[in-house]
Amino acid sequence: MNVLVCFKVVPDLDQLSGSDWVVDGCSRVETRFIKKMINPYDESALELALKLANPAKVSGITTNLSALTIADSGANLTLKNLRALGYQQAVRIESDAELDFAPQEIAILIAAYIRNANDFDLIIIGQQSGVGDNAKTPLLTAELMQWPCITQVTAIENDPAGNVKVTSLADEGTVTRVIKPPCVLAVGNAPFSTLRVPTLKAIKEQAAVPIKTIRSTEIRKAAPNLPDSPDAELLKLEVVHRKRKSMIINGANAPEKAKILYHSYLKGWLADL
Amino acid sequence: MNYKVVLNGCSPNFSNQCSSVSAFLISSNILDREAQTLIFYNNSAAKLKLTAETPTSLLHLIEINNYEAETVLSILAELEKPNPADLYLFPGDYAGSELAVRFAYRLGGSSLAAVESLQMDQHQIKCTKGVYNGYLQGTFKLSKKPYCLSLARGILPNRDSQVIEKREAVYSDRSEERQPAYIVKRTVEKAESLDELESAKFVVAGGRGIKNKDNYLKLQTSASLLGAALGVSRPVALNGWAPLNKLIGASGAIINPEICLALAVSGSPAFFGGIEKSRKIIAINTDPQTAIVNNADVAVIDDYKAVLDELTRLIGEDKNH
Amino acid sequence: MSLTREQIISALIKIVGTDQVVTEEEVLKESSVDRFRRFEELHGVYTQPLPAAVVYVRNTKDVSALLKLANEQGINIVPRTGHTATEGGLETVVKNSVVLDGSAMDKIIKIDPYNMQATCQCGTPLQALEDRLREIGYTTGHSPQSKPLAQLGGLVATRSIGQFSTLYGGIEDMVVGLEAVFPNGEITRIKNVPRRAAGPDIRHVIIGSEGALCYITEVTVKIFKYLPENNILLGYTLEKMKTGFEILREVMAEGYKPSVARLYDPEDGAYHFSHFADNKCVLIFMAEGPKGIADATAQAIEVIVAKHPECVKVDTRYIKSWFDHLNWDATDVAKERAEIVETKNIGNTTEISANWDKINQIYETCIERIRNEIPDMTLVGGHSSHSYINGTNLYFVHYYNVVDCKPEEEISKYHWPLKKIIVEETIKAGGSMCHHHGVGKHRTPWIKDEYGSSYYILETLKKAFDPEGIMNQGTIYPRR
Ligand SMILES: Cc1cc2nc3c(=O)[nH]c(=O)nc-3n(C[C@H](O)[C@H](O)[C@H](O)COP(=O)(O)OP(=O)(O)OC[C@H]3O[C@@H](n4cnc5c(N)ncnc54)[C@H](O)[C@@H]3O)c2cc1C
Ligand SMILES: Cc1cc2nc3c(=O)[nH]c(=O)nc-3n(C[C@H](O)[C@H](O)[C@H](O)COP(=O)(O)OP(=O)(O)OC[C@H]3O[C@@H](n4cnc5c(N)ncnc54)[C@H](O)[C@@H]3O)c2cc1C
Repeated sequence: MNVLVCFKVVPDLDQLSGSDWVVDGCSRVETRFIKKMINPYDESALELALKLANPAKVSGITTNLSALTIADSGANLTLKNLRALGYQQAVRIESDAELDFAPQEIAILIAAYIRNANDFDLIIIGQQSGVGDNAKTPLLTAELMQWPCITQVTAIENDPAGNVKVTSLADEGTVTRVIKPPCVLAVGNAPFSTLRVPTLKAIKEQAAVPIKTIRSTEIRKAAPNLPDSPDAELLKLEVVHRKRKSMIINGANAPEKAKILYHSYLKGWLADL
Repeated sequence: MNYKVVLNGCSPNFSNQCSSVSAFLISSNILDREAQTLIFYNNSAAKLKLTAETPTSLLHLIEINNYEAETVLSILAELEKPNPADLYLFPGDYAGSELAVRFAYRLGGSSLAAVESLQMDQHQIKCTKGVYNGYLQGTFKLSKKPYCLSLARGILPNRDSQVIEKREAVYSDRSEERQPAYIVKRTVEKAESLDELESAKFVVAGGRGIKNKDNYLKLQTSASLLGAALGVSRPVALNGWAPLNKLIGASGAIINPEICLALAVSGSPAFFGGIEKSRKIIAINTDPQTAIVNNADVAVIDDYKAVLDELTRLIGEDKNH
Repeated sequence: MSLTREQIISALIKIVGTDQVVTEEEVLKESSVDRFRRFEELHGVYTQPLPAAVVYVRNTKDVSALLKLANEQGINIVPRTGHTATEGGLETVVKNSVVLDGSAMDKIIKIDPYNMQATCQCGTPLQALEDRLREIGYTTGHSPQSKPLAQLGGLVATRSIGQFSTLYGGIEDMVVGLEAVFPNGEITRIKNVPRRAAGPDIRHVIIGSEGALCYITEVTVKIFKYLPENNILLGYTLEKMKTGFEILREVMAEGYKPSVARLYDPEDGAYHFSHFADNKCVLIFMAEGPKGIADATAQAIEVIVAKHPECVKVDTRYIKSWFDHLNWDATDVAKERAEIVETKNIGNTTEISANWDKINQIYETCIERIRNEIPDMTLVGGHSSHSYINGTNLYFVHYYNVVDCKPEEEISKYHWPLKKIIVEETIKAGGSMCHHHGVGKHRTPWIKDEYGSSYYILETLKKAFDPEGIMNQGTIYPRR
């Protein structure tokens, strides 16, 4: 089975302090100066795919993993690590466009890549990523491919006869589906999906293999039948203020503070319930 | 601009879908008597109940076998394509967030997920939604009709909601539609839904600072002694200390209790968005600099356990008197 | 005849009452280890004998009475405050040990801005003292990464050092006086004076004694004016560690005192500064103090760095978020623990020091050997973070995946062989095997090599102050 996981490296926005959040009309927040991380949902997607591939070796099913990102060369480090973890292909599509708020453009590039490769069975993508918070990429990818899609995925396992067992959350509870690929899986809050860490030895073994880089213009050309669909345009950004009174309770120790909290506030509020 | 609402009548949260869409319509000032709600349902015995709270008076109820996005999408696209409305509204639950985007694509329209507010005139619509993990709010212009919006989660019922005196429903039966071919087998395990958290009056919310599963279990005991429902932040659920249906935040439950006691959470916006509708927020945190302390009504800077133990003791004492 | 567990517990209760004596199994388990054995602990495996009890002392008198009891009855005592020790100093290697926890002795006794000193009980978290001081415009100048968790007793007992040490010094430069209790129950106070020449400086018998000689109950440290508005951060990327060491040396030799002077190798740099390091070494300085001094220091550093064309200056905003998140708190610990359980990837550190002419060689040899000799490594790197006129330290960072072994074999398969390489190479080159985490229990095999002929002095301290050997057996001194 051939699996493609799409991921994005994003700034760790919790690292920005209050005064860093300055916006001016639709100008972007400066995030260049903070540490980056793999978007948490994509990290889960990458790990779920590794979990799917590894026991498969035991059961005799070979799973071939590819990782794809649309990013500048800053993502190469992550791509190399993914190769070291067992992703056979690590591919970067390079685009000059501003993509944080352009999920349709990302989905078009992903779909073009899938069509070109023409041998993927499963596409696994985090359901949402920071900065844009668009929550559209996996859905649009499924539509462009005319493949089915499962959202809020929390686990992926092999099932006999080349099928895949997918667990996901739905409004009515937990749904488990045994499916026949192809399918797009949008990964949600998946427990136990912290990405494993590659060894230096594995990284070194992969060091010589270059990361495959494709220009976005090239790949779009190669799949001309994909529609262009500009969708929603960002007009303005504003900081959300959430400040409340923030009365800090002073006291000599925890029990004393708890007493003040209870008698001056909580007791009355509970009585009003 | 005419609009339609699409609801999932197979879901136990149907009544929330109705109330949040109604509230959104009122706050956006777009009440249209000609508007229609499409409802997909699979339990014909309960279908009358489904018509009681709908946000519009004109209804189209479509019976299906069970809720599968692929089936619903193709029926919806088939029904609407010949004569699409300008605007489609979907609730912000799992089903709605998915449908809005995919349906827009199929009709050549544009979509936006988790919309908080809507402004429109004859020619265009503008929407706001959270971006940058909820640190910022963005205003967006949508470019192509039909505009398909899924609403932000947790829009609260509006007090002066419109009164709909008479509802008119038409019915279609699509229950013979086969399960999508890609599904070999499907099982559903009904879980205690997020509603329990979402309807509680008093919620205790625990974050990563509780440190481990044992402490989560202890927190469960304390919460029930306090008479509160218990929720958690994302790391607590993803580390497997707590079940996923306890998750609060942008990707979990949006709660609106009278009192929220936030313990050992930092209050990152993705979490805080889940509790900000609480009438009172109490934070207990060892770090005075952390965001939740600023964003609470009252804060105690100390170890959550020591404070909570004393609180449960005090409440227990009062109960016994 | 040694006492049974039950006899020990009742003797303890007789002295301090039941409330202060904890014997719950969960508490005893986590009290039998420190950070060194956290892999075992996270998997619910406890290989050390469980202590008989953890006693929460309330005052110096408690400590005195308890030590006397232990001394007479031969009970092994493990002093403890913040529980952040990294080298096994808190492991209860002797059956029926008693952990004396000082964290309830957490009063800030006096802040004396006129004489520029502050006095605290041993269980005062450094963060609490620092927060109080900053409110009134002062600072301890002490900033170990464990500041939110570590407490003054432990910080003194381990000879800790902070991230601003190049200006303020290590804890040994800050402590002006102390109170400590010795195994025979003797309470000793060293007064707080600017300097003395009345014989050897006996503070240094206590500072760094890691609970193996006495129990520290009270500490007085210097305080400094807190002037963060004058701070100037400087950051550079460069190709070679060797160049970085040269620059650090020149800054020190020319007589400048930045508070932060740190040099990261590419691996460690990638871990902290992935957003700009791009596989290069990273050099960071901070100049602080009165404005004139801070400005002059920063300017001089810029001039020195400019002599090395391979250094590229980076926008300070790249370093600001690192500076805003210097410390490790309870949440970071919880996060790390969850990740270790899930990924089986664990990291540890080993810190050494050496003179300028040896440091680069130690760095290169150790990194090379670890890469070649230790399996399943995922990160080997390091940084220099504390510089002196005659040399600097190296803080090796080593992460590995624990593969094909039981939790209790993690140390013998990975951690210990790693330490061995670093310690042996350092001692061979004439450096010190412990820069600031202490010897604990896992570097004692090399303690005689570390000291050479001066081991006589160290050994005699133990004989003189703890003749019965009841203080934290196996720490600093190999177990008898
Ligand atoms: C797209 C996206 C969606 C997300 N959705 C959600 C979501 O729905 N819900 C959610 O929760 N998160 C969500 N997150 C993650 C979110 O950004 C934060 O990372 C997360 O909320 C942090 O959880 P926390 O506050 O529990 O942990 P931390 O940020 O680690 O904070 C722990 C807090 O505990 C305090 N503490 C530690 N020990 C104690 C003690 N003994 N006593 C008192 N206080 C103590 C610390 O001071 C700290 O403030 C999302 C992230 C992304 C990128
Ligand atoms: C994340 C992390 C970061 C760290 N960063 C630094 C750093 O930047 N710089 C640094 O120097 N260290 C650092 N350390 C190591 C550790 O924090 C220090 O060694 C600290 O000084 C220990 O203080 P504590 O109160 O936690 O002591 P504990 O862990 O309780 O004890 C440490 C040692 O001191 C002894 N001891 C404790 N209290 C007493 C007492 N009252 N009387 C006599 N002996 C006593 C114990 O027996 C033990 O041997 C770090 C540790 C961690 C976990």
